[in-house]
This record gives sequence, structure tokens and C-alpha cells, in this order.
Amino acid sequence: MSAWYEMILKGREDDVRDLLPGVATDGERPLWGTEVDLHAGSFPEHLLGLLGARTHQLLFVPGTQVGPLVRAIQGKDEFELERVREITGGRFTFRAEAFSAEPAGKIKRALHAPLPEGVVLEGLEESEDFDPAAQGVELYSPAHAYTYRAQGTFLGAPPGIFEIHHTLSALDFVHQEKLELDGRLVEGEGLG
Amino acid sequence: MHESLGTLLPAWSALPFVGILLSIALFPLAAPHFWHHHYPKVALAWGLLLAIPFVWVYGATAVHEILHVALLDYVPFLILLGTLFTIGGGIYIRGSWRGSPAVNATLLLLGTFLASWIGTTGAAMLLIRPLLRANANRRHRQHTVVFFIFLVANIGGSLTPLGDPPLFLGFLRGVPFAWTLTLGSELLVVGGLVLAAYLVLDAWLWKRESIEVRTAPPGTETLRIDGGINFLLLGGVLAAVILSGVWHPGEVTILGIQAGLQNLVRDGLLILLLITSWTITPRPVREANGYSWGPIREVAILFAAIFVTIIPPLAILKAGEHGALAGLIHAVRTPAQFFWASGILSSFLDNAPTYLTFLSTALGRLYPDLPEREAILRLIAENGLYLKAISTGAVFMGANTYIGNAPNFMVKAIAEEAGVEMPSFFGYMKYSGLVLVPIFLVATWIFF
Repeated sequence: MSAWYEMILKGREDDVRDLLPGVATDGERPLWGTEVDLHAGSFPEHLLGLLGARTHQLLFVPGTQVGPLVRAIQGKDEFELERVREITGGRFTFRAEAFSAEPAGKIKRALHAPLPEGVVLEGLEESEDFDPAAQGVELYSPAHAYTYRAQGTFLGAPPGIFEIHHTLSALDFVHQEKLELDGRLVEGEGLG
Repeated sequence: MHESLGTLLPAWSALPFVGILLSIALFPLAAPHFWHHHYPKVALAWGLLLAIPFVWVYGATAVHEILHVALLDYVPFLILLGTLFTIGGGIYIRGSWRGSPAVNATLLLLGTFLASWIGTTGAAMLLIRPLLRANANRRHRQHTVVFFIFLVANIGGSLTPLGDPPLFLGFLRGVPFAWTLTLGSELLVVGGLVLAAYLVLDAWLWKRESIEVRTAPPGTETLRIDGGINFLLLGGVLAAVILSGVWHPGEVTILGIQAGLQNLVRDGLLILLLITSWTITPRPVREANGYSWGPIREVAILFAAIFVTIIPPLAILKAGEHGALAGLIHAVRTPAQFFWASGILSSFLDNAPTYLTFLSTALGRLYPDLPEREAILRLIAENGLYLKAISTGAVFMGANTYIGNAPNFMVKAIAEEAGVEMPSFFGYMKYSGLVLVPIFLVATWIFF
């Protein structure tokens, strides 16, 4: 499993997007920060970005693609490489609360499926509550007859931690805390 | 109402009323299962907290007030809601559609129209499941349910006394049935803007659905209405209510309370219609709607406490500047202030008692010395804008939060059990803050 790098570039999103197909290798592709709910730059900057302004772009790039990407932006005025960090691990907590069997089943399957390589799930707590008296329609005392709850923390290295974060993002009734990443800064000279 | 009572009662005698309203608002959020199992005890406690010292201190006057509100407000209110809920719960719409923006907007429009004639609760119960079925394959569904709450569970109910409980309470107290039809322009503007906002948002999200979702065939089940005979019974409800507004055969005295014979006839007819609907509607239709007596039981228990505890604040407000709440009378003066004051309170407390509170505030300020029915007719004739502001504020702004109107929670719970992740309490308020509040500001500018 190769290392993954967090890269913060300054540039227009479309310009960065155009660069990426040229650096993708071995079926792996760089990941946008937004795919795991992470952003570089402030909210006003994000709004400016939607209008096509040159703003901060957050990417997660497999080690094999860092060199080609750095070389691709070297000497181009529209890009500025601000920071590169090698990601050594990450974690996020989640909680889930669903009120019928179908979405609860989807969450359970996701939690109990084999985890991506290098990822562990710690502190998993699950519960199912049944309240037969809460069956049917209520106006003033709404309560669900069935409630499934789960919570826990995923830990691991990329790309597995990204993968499980992405899997849970696609499920309704699951709320993830911000993905926290550990890493060390890498000097720019040695990257190209 | 004994006018002197309002000048005698202290402001803190309204505390049990505040207590029951806050209980209804906060317990479902903070402790839903405790509330589900114990709300009758909580309601009883608030009711007794008012009734025992009230009767102890004021004796026969207090008993008369309680009987008055029970016989003239509570019982007819319960009978109408029970009848509409039973008849509405006997209709089930079958059919499979693809939840495109056009289909969704059509269902919202239909619900907005129906809400005034079968009640917001009935319309919401009738249409929420077809709407959820149509959108079962869509990734973006939450906003559709939220706009359904805005339009069908609230705003649409503004056109007749059948639409929303506050308006029926107004009708019971003397607002003519046809008067609420004059709220049509407010409904058209506010409802139209909300529906337009929905269409823009849903069209944008529709483009973000997968190609499979956007091109999926709509299914094979054709449109069919089970229990359609109940629409005829709804016509009967409408006729019975209108009859009680135009026919005045005289009065009878029950337990010392004078009641219009026409109201007794109306309530008798409504009970007959309820029984007819219950008898002739096939059980599977009701099961498909998830119908039970639970909601009627909830209304019966909680509104018993509301109607008892509301006696002091209404009496004080009707006493106007001579009552202990003169500050409120002074604070709320213009129609725009009544719109927002009744609206903001209806956003967080049940809108039926809120409507009565501000109706009494207006009567206390403008016609403190007149009997209630006469004062209401004068209010309509001379200051109709005040009643429009109170009515639309109470009905429209019940949509601002989950706790503003009873069907809001019902729709949320049904949607969640159908797999739609609904926003949190504050997440819902982001929708209402971004969509409804600007539209209500526009309505204030246009109408008040």
C-alpha cells in the first residue's frame, strides 16, 4: 500500500480538474477533499470558487501520482502549490439513528462488511429498540415503534479510511464527524 | 365570559396554559418515548393545577367558565377534528408515478387545495404516502417532504374553518364561515411563492439525480382512489358546518350553558358522518393509511387541558387595558404586529390556542366592552385586517418549525419510517428561515 499525500493548490477548480487525468495511474485516482467533506479555504472563498475564481483546492493524491502532478503544475502561473502533507492515518466518529428496518439493514451491512485494508472500527455500539405502543400515526406524541442506533470510530490509513467514509456518506440516517487526518509536512523540492 | 373575571385574575394564572403548551412543544423533542407514554398524566397535571385553585377561589363562576369552554369550544372542536380525521383516513390513493418536479408540484398543489376542505391533517395523511412512493427511488427527497409540510400541513388550510383548528375555533366564536374565503389572496401569494421556490429547488436537484432515476418508468399501478365514498361524506361535513353558520333556530340550556340548537344539530350530523365513514370504509383502506384512534385520543386529552388552562389568559386579554396583561395589549397594535406576533408564537406553540390568544388581544384592545360575538362582527366590519393578520399568522407560520402544527410531526414520522432522512429541528428551521420567512416578509409588505 503506497503512501497518500494531502495537497493544497491554489488555482481554478476546472483547471485543476483538467490536470488530473494526465496523472492518474494504476486505476487509482486523486480524491477531491469535498468527496470526504473536507475543504481548504473559507466559505466566502468557496463561493468565489463557484464563480470561477482562483481558490484553494484540496486533493488527496496517491504517492505514485504526486511527482507527475507537481511536474504538471511547475512553471504555470495559474497554479500555486501551497502545502503537501504525507497522510499517515485518519479517524472519524459516526452515529446512526434509523426508524425502519430497511435503512437500518443498509447501515448494519455497511458496518459489518469486511473493512478496507488498514481500517479498524473501534467502540462500535449498536442497539435496537421496539416500542409496540408507538405503532401508527401520531399527531402530538410522535414516537417511532422501531429505532436502530449505532455509533463508533473508524481509524486507519488512506485510501481505506477515505473509502469507508465515502461508503457511510452515501447512507441516509448516518452522521459523520469531521475526518481528522494525521501527517507530516513534506518539503516541495523533493517532490518533482 | 364574565367580564369582571378578566380584571381580577393575576397574570400568573396563565402559567398552567404556558406549561401545557411548552410541554406539547418540548417533550416530543426532548423525551419522545416518555411523552408518548405519559402525556395524559402531564396534561391532567396542568389541567388540575389550574382547575382546583380556580374553582376553589371563584366557585360557581369558575365552574360556569369551565363548562362554557367545554360545551361550546372543546366538544365541537373534538367532534370536527375526529370526523375529518376519520373520513380523511378512509381515503387511500393508489398509483405509481415518477417523482419528477412536475409530479411532485402537482401533488403539493392538490394537497394545498384539499387542506382547506378536509383539514391539514386529513390532506397530509391522504397525500404523504403517494408522494413518498413517487419519490422512493430519488436520492434527494428531504426537501419535498419539508415543502409538503409547508404547503399541505399548514399554508393550504387557510381558506375555510375546516382547514385548520384555529379557524374552526374562530368560527365557533362567531367568525362567519365565508369570511375565511377572503384569505384567498394571501393564500394565493404565499402558497404560490412557496410552490415556485419548491419548483426551482426540485428542478435543480432533479438534474443531480442519476440518469436511471430520471428515466425510470413510473410503475404499472394506475391511479385509483379507495374509499372514494368518503369524499361525499366530506361534502356532508361542509354542509353541516355551513348550516350551523346560517341557520339560527334558537337556543337550549345545558348545565346552565346556553348553546345554539344549530350547533347541536351540526355536532350530531358530524358524529353521524363519522360513524358512517367508520362503518362503510373497508378496513384495509384504513390500515393502508396507518389509521388509528390514537391521534383523536391525543387531541381529546391534550385539548381538554388546553381549553381549561386557556380560560384565565383569554379572560385577562379580553379585559383589555383593565387586565393583568395590559402590557401585551399595548405592545401589539398594528395588523403587521398581529401577523408576526401570532405567527411567531404559532411557530413554537400550538396554533389553535395562539389564535384565540391574539383574537382576544385584538378584541380587548378594540372592543373591550362588547360581548364576544358582537365584538368579532365589529372587528370584521371595521378592522378586518386585524383578523386576517391573526388568522394567516397562526395558520401560515405553524410551518416555521416542527412543533408549530400537529401534522408537521406526523408527516416527519411517516417520512422517516419510509426511509427519508428528515432534517433536525434546527435543520428544518434553516429551510423555513430561507424560504418562508422572506415570503412572510413579502406578505407583510403586500397585505399588512
